[in-house]
Amino acid sequence: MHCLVLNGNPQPSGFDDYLARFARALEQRGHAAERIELRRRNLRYCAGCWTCWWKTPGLCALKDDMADIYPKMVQADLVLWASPLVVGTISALLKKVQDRFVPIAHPYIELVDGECHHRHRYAHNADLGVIVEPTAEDTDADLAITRELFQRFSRNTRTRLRLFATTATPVEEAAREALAA
Amino acid sequence: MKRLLLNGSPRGKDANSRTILTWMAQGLAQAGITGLSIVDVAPDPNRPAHLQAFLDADEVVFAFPLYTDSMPGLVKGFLEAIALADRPRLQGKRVAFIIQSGLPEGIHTEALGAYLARVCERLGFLHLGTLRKGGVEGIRMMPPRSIAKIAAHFVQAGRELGARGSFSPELIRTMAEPRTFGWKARALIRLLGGIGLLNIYWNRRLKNHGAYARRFDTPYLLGPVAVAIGPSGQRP
Repeated sequence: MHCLVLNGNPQPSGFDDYLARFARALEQRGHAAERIELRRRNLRYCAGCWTCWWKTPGLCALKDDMADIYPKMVQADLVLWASPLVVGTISALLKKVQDRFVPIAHPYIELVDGECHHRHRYAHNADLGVIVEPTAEDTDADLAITRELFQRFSRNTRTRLRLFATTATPVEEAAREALAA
Repeated sequence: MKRLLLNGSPRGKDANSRTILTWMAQGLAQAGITGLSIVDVAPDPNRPAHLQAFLDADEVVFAFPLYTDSMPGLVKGFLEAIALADRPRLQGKRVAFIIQSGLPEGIHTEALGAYLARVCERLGFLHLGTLRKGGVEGIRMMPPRSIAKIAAHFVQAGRELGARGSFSPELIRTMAEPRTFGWKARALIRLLGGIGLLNIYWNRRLKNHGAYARRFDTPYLLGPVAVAIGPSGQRP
């Protein structure tokens, strides 16, 4: 299995160490884990131009480091969205990259389990994982909201939310969950 | 009272959210509140003048699209910047949200609605309500008659906000409907899908750009080198 870890931590902290240990735990079990520290990358906000939907299908018009990240996203088996909670949910840095998922989706609408959802562009579709680090201000209700936001994302992108963990979860346990079929 | 209409759409001035805010402004004007301008968060959520405008306002209407099942990253960036302000400057600020989505059912925006309510609680805002409205993609390009009902709802929302200081629970509920489609609507959607009419809007746009034949392209499977050239040998 190939796991792509998108680290949306805006500032260096112990959160990065947790992700390093998580990646190592996957590698020790014979899997590949690639970590991308998004704060070190040149990333722009999606401009909502829809070029990727109706001009150059599937291809983002923005010229930045997503050009390297997109091929990794569509080829990974598990994309792990990782971030400390900032104002109760994932950082703007990680959300910026989540917004850029638009070219991977297709504009067409389909009925899935009775709901309208976008068609998926790629036959292979990575599962989702989420690792967050709550602050003292965050409650179980905040975690439940972030989990639900990613549940909706997984439904709409036809993926499976395989893992939702916090940094309070022992690394070994998070790795086991990430590998559970 | 200082009021601010804030557009959080990544499209900035060309946004459906901006159109919605102009309808809100019409409704507010009917309640005697005029002279409001709309501020665009895009392309930079950290512009000091905009953050200052938010901090100075007594009442803010913040409108944006559902983006990958949550708020746009720009909106999150703006909220993070605002949250750095001293809490007394935020305490009691009157804030209303409008989430509009291309997907038609209300269920898609529920989780984000819950998040925004929690943001108000966390930052000490007085939450005036969150309007959630689906099926809004393309309103800027639709003929006025076909969007009259959507427009009327937002004008009413502006009028309610101006007259009573919040959105009525009935309007909030009505606009978020249907939460999910009933069997009749689902059958119609299946039928439209079957005869190729469900995605007519997207097909028209694809054809206008000569991209219809390439609509199922998967360029990122080719790797970064091929991506720089484009899926059909054309530079994007």
